[in-house]
Amino acid sequence: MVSEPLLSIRNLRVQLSTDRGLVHAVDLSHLTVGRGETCGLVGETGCGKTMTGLSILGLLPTSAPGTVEGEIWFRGRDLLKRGPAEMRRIRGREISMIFQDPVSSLNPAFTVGEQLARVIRWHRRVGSRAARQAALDMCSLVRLPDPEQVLRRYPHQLSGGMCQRIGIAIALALRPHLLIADEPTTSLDVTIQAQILRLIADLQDRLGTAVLLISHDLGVVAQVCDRVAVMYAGDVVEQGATARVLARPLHPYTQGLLASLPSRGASGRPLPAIPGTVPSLIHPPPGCRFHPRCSLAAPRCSRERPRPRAVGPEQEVACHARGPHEGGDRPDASG
Amino acid sequence: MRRLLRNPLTAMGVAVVAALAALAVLAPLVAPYPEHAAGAVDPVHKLLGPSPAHPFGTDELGRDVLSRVLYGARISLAVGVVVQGLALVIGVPLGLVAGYLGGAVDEALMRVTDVMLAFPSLLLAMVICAALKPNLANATLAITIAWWPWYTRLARGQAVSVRQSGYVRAAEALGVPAPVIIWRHVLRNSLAPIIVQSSLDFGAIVLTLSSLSFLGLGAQSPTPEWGLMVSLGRNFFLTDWWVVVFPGMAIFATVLAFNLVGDGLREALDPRARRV
Repeated sequence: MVSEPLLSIRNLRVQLSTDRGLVHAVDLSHLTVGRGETCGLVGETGCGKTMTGLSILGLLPTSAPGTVEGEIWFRGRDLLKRGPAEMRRIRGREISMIFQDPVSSLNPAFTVGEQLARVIRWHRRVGSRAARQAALDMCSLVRLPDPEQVLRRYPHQLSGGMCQRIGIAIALALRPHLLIADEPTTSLDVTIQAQILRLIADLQDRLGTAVLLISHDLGVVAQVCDRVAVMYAGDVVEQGATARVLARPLHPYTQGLLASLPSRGASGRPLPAIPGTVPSLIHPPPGCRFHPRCSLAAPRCSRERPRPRAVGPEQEVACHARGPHEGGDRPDASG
Repeated sequence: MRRLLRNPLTAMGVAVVAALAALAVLAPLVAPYPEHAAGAVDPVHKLLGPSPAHPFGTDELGRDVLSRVLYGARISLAVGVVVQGLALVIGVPLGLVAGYLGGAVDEALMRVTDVMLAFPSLLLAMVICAALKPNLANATLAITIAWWPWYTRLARGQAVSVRQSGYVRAAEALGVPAPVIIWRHVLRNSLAPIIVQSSLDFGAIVLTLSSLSFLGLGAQSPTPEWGLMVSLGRNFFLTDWWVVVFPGMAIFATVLAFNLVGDGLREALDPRARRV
């Protein structure tokens, strides 16, 4: 944990120009993922989680031209300063990504076996027989039943869960150091969801791949992640060891998010909700982006952007209401 | 394929196209007077009506109309294949590249095609033919020049929609280079409408060639080109109808058959048009 992190994002700013104006999609002060670690990136839809993931790969949507500033350090080099050819070599081999909709992430015109073997051949330059064998090995790695049969099928003939296993096999075929999983289980049944999460956790143990798990579901993150980063309106507001952050959330947004999870003990009572709505990222609120919805907001919060501060050994929070050495749970309304 | 032939109209179109292709290939064997397609004349037997010896009659130079119509099929189909092939080879890659890359490349390529498409195809082909020496080869070239932008347009539209798909994003995330993405992902999933359009267009190309020849800007006498035959025969149309009607029918049947095949293909390849 003390060694240099695998991925370290600093002051990442992503701005996209759209028809409605300049969207400040990401304004992230810092985020790290350690070697072999699973880091969860949680937040509401549209808070910039996916944009962060895509920026790491240098793959912003072509439909909205934008600018990316800051630093993304990965294995000793800043990815934002690499040329397109070098980024292309990094993708797949060192960092790969799996997406939310597993079926549409596979080309409908080819069998899944062809697609898996193609990726292996492309990067490893092996013959077709070796690639086929490697594809079968990958299938057993992702625990696909009856791989011989499955590899001969087209994506639309397989279930979402099976397609996601193939997607994971393709993404891990080249043994990347980092896997970005963007809502990998959102479109799947709950039972399949659990299986896929267990698979990701298990593969990570075996292959030592670090995982950046992007999700809107704190439950998913709690199950598999060593660390968690909570994102709100483009910035990480709190991060730390999952157990610590979930047991003792310090940022008012994290607290609200946790309080709004349904739990068995609280049945019969209405679920608490965070008042207000997610701010527009075209005109984000000044200062702390959460202050309009925050119960602890002080005048300073609307003027000054809080910087992330370490609170305790494994937790960090960006909030004026939390003192630099505060470990306690009591809100300090004076700010 | 079976789905394609289930529709009786499509089956008919396929049959006519197949028959035309067969007759075109076998013309030297089936045509009763092959020399009449090559320029030989027989003035003694001019303008005879249809008879067992000359089922389609003879023209003003005594040439057998049936033989010339059969050889005409070779010309029309060959020009169709060449124009179609060149237009696809030029148009589709440009469209795919423009649609996939977007940005300045897209702008530049699409403005060029817009300029080309601003002229009606027939008019553009006529201007090119008139500027060059009017003959069959130049007519082929002229039609190709007028045709490729349509495929660029079509391919670009397909590429733009395929580019947004999950598998293209996934391929990009795996570091697959752009040419491979265009070839394996974008082209493969854009093919259906391009195939449909090219079969629909085949008839139009045949028609354009005939129109050019009719106007004297395409094939020159004694080439047995259908449009040219109609053009030369129109002086005798009122008295000797067969000189015009049979080549005209050949044009009509060819264009109709390719349109039927194109419609059938569209239905067979488009899952949305498929009935349960």
